[in-house]
Amino acid sequence: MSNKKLTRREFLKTVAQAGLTAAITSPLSVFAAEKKKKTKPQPAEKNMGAVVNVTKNAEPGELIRQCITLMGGMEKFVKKGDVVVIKPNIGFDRTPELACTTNPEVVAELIKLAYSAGAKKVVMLDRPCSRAEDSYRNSGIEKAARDAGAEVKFVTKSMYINTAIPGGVALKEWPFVKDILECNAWINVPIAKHHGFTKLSLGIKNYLGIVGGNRGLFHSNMHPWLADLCLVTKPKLVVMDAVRARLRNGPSGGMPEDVEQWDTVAMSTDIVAVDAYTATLFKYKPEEIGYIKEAYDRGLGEMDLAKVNVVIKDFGKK
Amino acid sequence: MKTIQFRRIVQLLSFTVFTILFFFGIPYAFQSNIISFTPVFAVMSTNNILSILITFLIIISVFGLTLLFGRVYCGWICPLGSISDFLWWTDLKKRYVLHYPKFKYYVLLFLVGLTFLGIQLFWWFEPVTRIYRGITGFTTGFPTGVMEVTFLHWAGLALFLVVPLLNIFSKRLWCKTFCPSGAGYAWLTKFSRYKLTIENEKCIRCERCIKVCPVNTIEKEMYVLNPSECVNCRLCAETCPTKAIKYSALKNDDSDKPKVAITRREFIGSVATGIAAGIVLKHIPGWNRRRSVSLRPPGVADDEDFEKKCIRCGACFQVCPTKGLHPEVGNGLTSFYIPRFIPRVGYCAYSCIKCGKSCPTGAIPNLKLVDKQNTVIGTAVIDYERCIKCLICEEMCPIPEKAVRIRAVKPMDEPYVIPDLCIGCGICENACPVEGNAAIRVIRA
Repeated sequence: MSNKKLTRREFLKTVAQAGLTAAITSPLSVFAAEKKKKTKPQPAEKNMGAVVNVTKNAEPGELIRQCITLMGGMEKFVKKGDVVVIKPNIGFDRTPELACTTNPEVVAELIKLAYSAGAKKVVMLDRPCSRAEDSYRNSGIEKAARDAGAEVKFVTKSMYINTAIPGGVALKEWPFVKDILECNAWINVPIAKHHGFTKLSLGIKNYLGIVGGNRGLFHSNMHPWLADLCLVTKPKLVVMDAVRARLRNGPSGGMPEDVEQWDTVAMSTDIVAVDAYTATLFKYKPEEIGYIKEAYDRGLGEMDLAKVNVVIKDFGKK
Repeated sequence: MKTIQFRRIVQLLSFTVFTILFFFGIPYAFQSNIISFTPVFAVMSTNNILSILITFLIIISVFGLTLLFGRVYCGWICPLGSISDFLWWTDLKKRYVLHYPKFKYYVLLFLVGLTFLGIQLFWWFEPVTRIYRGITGFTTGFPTGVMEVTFLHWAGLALFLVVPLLNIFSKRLWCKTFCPSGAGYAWLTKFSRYKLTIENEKCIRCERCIKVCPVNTIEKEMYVLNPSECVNCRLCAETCPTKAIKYSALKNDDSDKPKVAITRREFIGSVATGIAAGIVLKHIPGWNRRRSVSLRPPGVADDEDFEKKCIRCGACFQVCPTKGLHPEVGNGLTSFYIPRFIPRVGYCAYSCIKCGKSCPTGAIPNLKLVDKQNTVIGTAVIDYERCIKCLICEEMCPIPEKAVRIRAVKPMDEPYVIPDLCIGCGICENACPVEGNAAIRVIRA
């Protein structure tokens, strides 16, 4: 149509095409720009010899102290002057005995250790499913964290940052809690418990507490979405609280009969490995838990426990 | 310190206590007693023994003060009266606009007449519930953003704002002309021991007291103070150049006795009008509540009983942590503004019993946590046509044995409800990610 006069129809068509192209590409270009800003996800420390350290049968505080010693000390993860976020699972308005929320003693001990490693500030936060104030209070974590000197933060809407997910398979972006993205180190402290939908709620599942948005949508495609969340930010340390383990009616069940005292804590820098190990405690194969498999496929860690160095230290005090 | 300054301080304190306790609801049991400052409702409050004792003390002190000095409550304690006083710019020049002090007796007796037919409309007029509805108008209506609900909260707010606005026409117009509680206290002054009186010998007829009195107690050119209208603000006593106005014990002399400004004929007429109005109202279509589908706060069993006990103070709206309680509308005027539980807006938190604790009349029973956790509000029902099988309802269900469970069916596992276990807390309906109405909904059991 070089010499021809532009007809109205062609003009409209061209404009529409241009508009459409712009509409399609512009979010992508924004996305691409975001992508540049982010460092590429750390390609798996695969076969680097993932280590899971486990301590058993002692007081919760003692388990944490011993396990962190096995890990090489808190100084390895928290540097002097760091802002540290502790992220327990306070999903529901339940008392600690019901094992729906992380053990408060575990949280308190980690906060103390972070401070003694030289942390400038330790923040404790989660985004519960029940009303946050009730969950914080009744889980005993709020008081434990305050007494240990942490800043107890409630997650509010203004704290979410829409974040691109580099390499995300099912999710391209999702709002994350600012504090998690901006801190120097965050420690993921899930509780090992049964979950009606995903079979088990472990470290990767605990990521749901650091994201905003309509989390109900996760149930539409839970496992790939969860694994994608892990691509955005990695905890410096994952502390699996299996002091009390919920075996049935999770994640929010209220029957003490479903809870078993395991007095176990597992730690690792490899979230997939520690989740895989904990899954075996529940008599599951790691690949049976959808999100562990997905995370493994993304190269986020080692799921094959034959390749993981599991160090178990049993104190036998109980 | 002059008594008048002292009164201002007491008013401010009382107002602050009323408001702060309402906003922050520090100890909820105590809060219910604060509303019980209005003794009429306190009588119905039978929450616990401590509450009864405190309530009893409050009743004794309020009635005692009235029997000693007359309407101390109106001038010193009532937060609505205080608000009128705080509006210092409303001047006293137009004091006699709409001045018809008898009218408040008509209101009171009319409402009493209505109660003969079991119709309780006191809450439209009572000052403390008015101010509390005003506060809930701000605090509950705005954050939820549910339109129909917000409108109602605004109605509560408007009901409250009428009182300060009436000051534009005439200072304390509400107290002088409309307030049925004021009428009750005014009637009690008949038995008061002391009253402010003008000593005839000292009075120099300067009429300064007449000019400062906000409630037109002293008739023009009469130089006699009518204690049933006096709210004990003591402005006149402070103003009087010869100190002619002071408290004096009542003499047996008949001429000195305060006159309650209503005749027997008016008395009977007002009550009869109330009864007649009640009969008429009951026959107006849309007056009576028909079968109700609304959910009620935990422990409320019978709507008919509930709408009579509820004084619509809105305390439960205020304390509900999830903001799930809202005023009822659209099902008969008898049930207008009683609390209605809307789980989609806010669920009934499993570990919470605040509404029962805050209720001043026991309309919402003050249940123990264990009992509340076994009290059925409704039953969840799943609409499988709309359910997306996300199983969040199962995840959220707080019942220890799980009232919502998962069953394995092809192609996807689906949730199902065990009605015998479900208490209708509505957390499932609240969390259901389906847009608009939830796919799992609590219906009245």
